[in-house]
Amino acid sequence: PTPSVSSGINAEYGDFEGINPSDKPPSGKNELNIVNAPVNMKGHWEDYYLEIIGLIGVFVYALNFYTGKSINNRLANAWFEHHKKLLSDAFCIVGDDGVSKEISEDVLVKESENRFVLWCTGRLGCEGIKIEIKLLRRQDLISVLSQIFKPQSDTITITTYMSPEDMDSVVLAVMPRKGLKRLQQEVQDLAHFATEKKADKFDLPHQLGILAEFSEVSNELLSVPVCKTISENIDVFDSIHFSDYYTGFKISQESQTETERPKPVKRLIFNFVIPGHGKRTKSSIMETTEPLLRMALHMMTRVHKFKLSKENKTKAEKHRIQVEEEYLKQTHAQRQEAAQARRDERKRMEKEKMQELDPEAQRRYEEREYKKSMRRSGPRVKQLKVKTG
Amino acid sequence: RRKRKKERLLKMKSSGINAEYGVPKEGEDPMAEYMNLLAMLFSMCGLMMRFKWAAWAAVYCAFIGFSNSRSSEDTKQIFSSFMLSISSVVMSYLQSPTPMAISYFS
Repeated sequence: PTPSVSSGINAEYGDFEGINPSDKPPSGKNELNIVNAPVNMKGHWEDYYLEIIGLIGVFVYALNFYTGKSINNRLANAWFEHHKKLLSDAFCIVGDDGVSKEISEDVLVKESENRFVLWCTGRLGCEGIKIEIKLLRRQDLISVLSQIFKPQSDTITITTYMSPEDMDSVVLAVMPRKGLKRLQQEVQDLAHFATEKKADKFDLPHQLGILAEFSEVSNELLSVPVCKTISENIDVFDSIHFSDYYTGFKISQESQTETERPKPVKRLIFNFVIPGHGKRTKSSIMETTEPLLRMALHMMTRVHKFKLSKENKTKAEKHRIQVEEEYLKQTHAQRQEAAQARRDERKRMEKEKMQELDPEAQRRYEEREYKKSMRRSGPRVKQLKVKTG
Repeated sequence: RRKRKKERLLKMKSSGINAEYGVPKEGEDPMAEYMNLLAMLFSMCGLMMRFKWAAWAAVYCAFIGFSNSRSSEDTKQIFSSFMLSISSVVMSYLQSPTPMAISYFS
């Protein structure tokens, strides 16, 4: 019988009202038409403010990158062009690329967007020089912003590579007094050999201090013209460091090992700064290092020609031998410790392996170890066969 | 020109002479490598976890890493971190075009 369709609860069809179960479902296709309705973007652009800020930030960063990069390139090339004549008069080859087998010229090697390197060689008294133009990271917006809080300067570092026969035992450093004590502790050769000398007798600005192994060195090398040039260009001068025993900065005790200890080399290092803390970006600012570059070339020749007195030479050699012996002793102790640690580790591993073997093998191993230790500790005893009877 | 002597011409290889001991060189500044690594990490976060902010951070890290990189470094790695970060941004918005402001602040 057909269930009633009146209002009220119908147990079979649930709580549906007004539905006649005998009704046929509507005829036609059962397809679902999905219409491509366009996304309604009208009037909602303001919700994308974060994305717009992000895009603007990327655009600003890219703009700063290209601006900073072009300023750095211009400054580096300006420095090179201005000093090329002076360097060409002093060196046969100016601007070797330092990489290819053939000698090249006039190449300012770009290490990064703010670091440029110039190699020069072909001069008596030195193997060659490396000039590093370290500019501010103008291409990086983060660095540009941090420059506001912590101003830094563009620097020029000239490292002269001296052969063993080019230079006598000279250790000399002239730098601002502020960093003198710290550097003396951190740089190995200054810590071992140099002591502070009085700067009063030299016509140097009061903010500079002198470290030297012997007064003879500072008296001879810091001549009147040198001191005058430094004084007149004090805003460009940063430091000089001459050493026949250069090994860089002191490595911390934990990490120092035999293989990491560098071989002492002979170097003359000149550090200059471009005045203005990077704010002045006209190409002409790069010309301010010319007098000091002349002084540096002059000092290279002076150091090459300088010879210590016999007495000081003997002292210097003795001192270097002492330092070398001390170092060998230190590392000897470290090497022994390392070897002992390796031996202990090996024994421990063998013991662990032995635990897993059967008792017979363990007994044989222990016997072997006992015989070994007896051989090591006791003197060798000759066996005599005595005939009895 | 007594200062010039051709027999003193020496070819200095940058790999040998550049070994300045103990002096922290600019080239040893690991910022570029860290930034590249961060860019890749943020890109993966953005793609897999669908964090739009991570995708944007990846783009910035890739840019910073690129601007601080040395010329001798492998450009392929820098280029790949760039492409990965841009693709993570694009994929995040293709999957869900809602703006960040609404996703995170509403």
